[in-house]
Amino acid sequence: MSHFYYLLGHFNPVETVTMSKKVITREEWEKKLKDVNIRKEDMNKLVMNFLVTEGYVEAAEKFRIESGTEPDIDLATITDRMAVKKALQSGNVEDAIEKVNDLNPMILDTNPQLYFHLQQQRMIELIRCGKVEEALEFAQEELAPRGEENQSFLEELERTVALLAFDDIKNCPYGDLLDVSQRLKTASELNAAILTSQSHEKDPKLPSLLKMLIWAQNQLDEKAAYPRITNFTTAALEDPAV
Amino acid sequence: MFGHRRPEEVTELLGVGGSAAQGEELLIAIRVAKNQIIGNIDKKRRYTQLGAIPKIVSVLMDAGKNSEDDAVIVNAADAIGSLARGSGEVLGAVVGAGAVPALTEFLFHPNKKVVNASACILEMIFQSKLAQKFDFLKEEARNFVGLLLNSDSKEVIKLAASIIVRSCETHGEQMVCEAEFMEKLIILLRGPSDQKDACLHSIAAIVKNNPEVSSKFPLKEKGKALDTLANLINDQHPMTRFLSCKCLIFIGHAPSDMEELELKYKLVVILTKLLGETDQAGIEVPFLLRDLIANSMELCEQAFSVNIDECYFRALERSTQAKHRVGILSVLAELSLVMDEYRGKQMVLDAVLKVTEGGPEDVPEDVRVAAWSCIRSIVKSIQPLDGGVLYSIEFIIPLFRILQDPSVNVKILAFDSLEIIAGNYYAGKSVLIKDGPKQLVQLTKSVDSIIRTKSLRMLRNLMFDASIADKDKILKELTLSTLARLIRDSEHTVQEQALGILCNLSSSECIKHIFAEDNLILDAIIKQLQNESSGDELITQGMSTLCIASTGSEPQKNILLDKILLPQADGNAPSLAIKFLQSTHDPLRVAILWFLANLAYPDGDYASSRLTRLQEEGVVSQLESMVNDPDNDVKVYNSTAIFKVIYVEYVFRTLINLLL
Repeated sequence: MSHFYYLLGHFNPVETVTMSKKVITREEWEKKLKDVNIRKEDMNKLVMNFLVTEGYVEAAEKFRIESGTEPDIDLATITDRMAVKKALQSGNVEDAIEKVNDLNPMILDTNPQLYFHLQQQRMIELIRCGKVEEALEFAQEELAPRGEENQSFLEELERTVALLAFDDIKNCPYGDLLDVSQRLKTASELNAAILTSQSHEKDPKLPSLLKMLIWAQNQLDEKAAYPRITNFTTAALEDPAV
Repeated sequence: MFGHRRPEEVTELLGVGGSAAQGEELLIAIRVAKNQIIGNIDKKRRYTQLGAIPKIVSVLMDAGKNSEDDAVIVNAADAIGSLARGSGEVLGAVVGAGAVPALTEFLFHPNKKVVNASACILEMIFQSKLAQKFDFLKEEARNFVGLLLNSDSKEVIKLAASIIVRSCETHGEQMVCEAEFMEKLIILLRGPSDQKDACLHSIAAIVKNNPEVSSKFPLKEKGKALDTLANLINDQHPMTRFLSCKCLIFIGHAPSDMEELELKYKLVVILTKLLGETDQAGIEVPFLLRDLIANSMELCEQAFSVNIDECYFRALERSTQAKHRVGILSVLAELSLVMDEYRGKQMVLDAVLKVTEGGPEDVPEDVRVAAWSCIRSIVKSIQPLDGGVLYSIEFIIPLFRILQDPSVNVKILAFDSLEIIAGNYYAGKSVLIKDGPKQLVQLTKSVDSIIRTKSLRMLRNLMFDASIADKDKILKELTLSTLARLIRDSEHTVQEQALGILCNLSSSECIKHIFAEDNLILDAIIKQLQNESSGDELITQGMSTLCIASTGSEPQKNILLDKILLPQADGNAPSLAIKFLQSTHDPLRVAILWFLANLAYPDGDYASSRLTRLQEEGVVSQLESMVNDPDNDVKVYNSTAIFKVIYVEYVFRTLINLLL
């Protein structure tokens, strides 16, 4: 027994083998956050940047009037860009191509991948409408030459042409090509190209800031227990686990 | 919709007059053509084949004259712009069709779209150098470009910048552009990124290689111009970062809050990180970086301190353009000269082997040359105490292999590297002697005289200070018949190296080989001496080689005398002995005199008969006439020769008289 207590005496119950994390209480955390100054103009610019990039032209116009924040892009161009996006989202690919060429003829001339995806979308729309022969002729004339030059184009072309092999195209292995999501994907690519051509960043800054927040929290998780944000819609602080 | 009309149908409707469409129908046809052409390489080709270009140009010019609907002008200009993009031929056709004046007028059109469309095409024309340069010494030209720079259209400003780049070449033109446009260009750097880039291009063209212009730059924008440029080196766009670095390097001054070396360090880091870019900027980055760090130890060390794995080797791996790879390799070659880290050198060697592994069939010559230049730089930089790299077989074998490369320039690089190894590093030399002679001898048969010369020089270097066994091995591989052929080569440089091979032998070995195989080498040397075009230096070298032979045996001396006293092909020409004694080239006269002195030396069975022959052939009288030779050396040797000749003759005659 005396040996056991002797041995016990050699271990301080407070010490552990692994390093413990620093604990920051909600009170401490909120105090630190209060000390960080954010300028209202910067916040307004972030909001305007989001509205402009995502194409919410009326909201951007109203926000400009209310906050006095100038957009970093001509709001008239947003209307043009949204018209292109709408045409594509509705499946009117040719209309979208005409509109983007009117906006800036260099965009499709300098983005072969985007142009291929638009042509691919045209073919998908022909297949959706049941215009099989027209779709095949279109594939042969417009898409096949590009497939010969580029392996990734060829693979995408093969997937698209494969739709024609199935009776029930919506439930075939490549049925996702007929989803609205495919139109949205192409529309998003086109929107990004237009923004880049206008020397505007193709992604709004707010999502990047959120990503940075998530990353910073993940890094801090390894070193401390602190009031983190899990729900980004409410941005509520959760008490640290002790 | 545009997709359903065939190009043939549409082209029929284009043009002015005749069967061409008019009004609304023409506008529809142009729009259909435009929307089919943009982005579509096959349609561009088809419309060009169908002759659409002159038709659309005529529509454009006609629309301008008749102040028609702007939509026709815009769509026609967009169609032409798209057809011309990336095709110098189409651009040439556009210029040839007389479109430039009409497009120039459209720059001042009230419709912004017309202005932009025209500016885009004109910018392409000026960038391709199809248009004439502007003469900036003329006020009219300066005013016009000044007007363009004041436009509120970004496309027009970019056009003005292209005109400046195209027309600003001479020192005088740069001075004028600096005075007229520099302030405005710096202000325009605040615009959108493509406008910034265009203005940076112009600034670079104005300041390049012009210290007078560069010295004025820091004063621009109320002294803030350099700060403006320095901020742009951190821009988010790679092209902007590259161009602003280029401008700062050309200007050569740092902003007020920075030392010049500090700025250069920053530029090195930025340019190094741009090496991985593969667009047009990326291709030029390595060359700019190379020029910046060349001959500067500190800047090379700075370039090396950046993550070399990522910046250089990964960039090289990912690069798809030959010129880009050449550029990165040229930076590595510069760094290799100062790299003192063994690991770095090994990495460069690995990178070179990887980039050239496809061989001459797959790897362009300029890439191979740039790659092996790195190896030459490493070899030059190796310190004597450096471990491992140089004389490892893994290092030397690739160098041997590239001696087989079809490119002469690559072979020369291999030779340069191998020579340094052979000359400086004993262990490396022994590897070369073991594996090199066969391949080097093969290269002495090359049709390229530079390769023949270099391979002989290499063999000569290997023989220098080598063991007798090694020298024998090399000569055996070379063969006397090959050596004789090379002594008679049509190129002097080859002859010189071939004779040099003999000089690297010991006297006895040299003599043995000169007379071997029925005097094969001796006859080759004599032929070289008889050749009028050989030149004094080469003949002197040949004669000096025969001087060694003239210390041989009696029969050998007699053979030599026969050869040197042989009458020339033309019966009137003197023998080689007389000819060389009469030469105005002093080293040659010294050489022939030594030769004769050795032959006349009174120690041998046939010495006296040789003396008699020398007298009979007029050599002695020639010698007597040279007594007062202005060259001291000749005088000394002359005295020796005459003394020997006259003394020995005197003794001989006295002896004969005594005997009789």
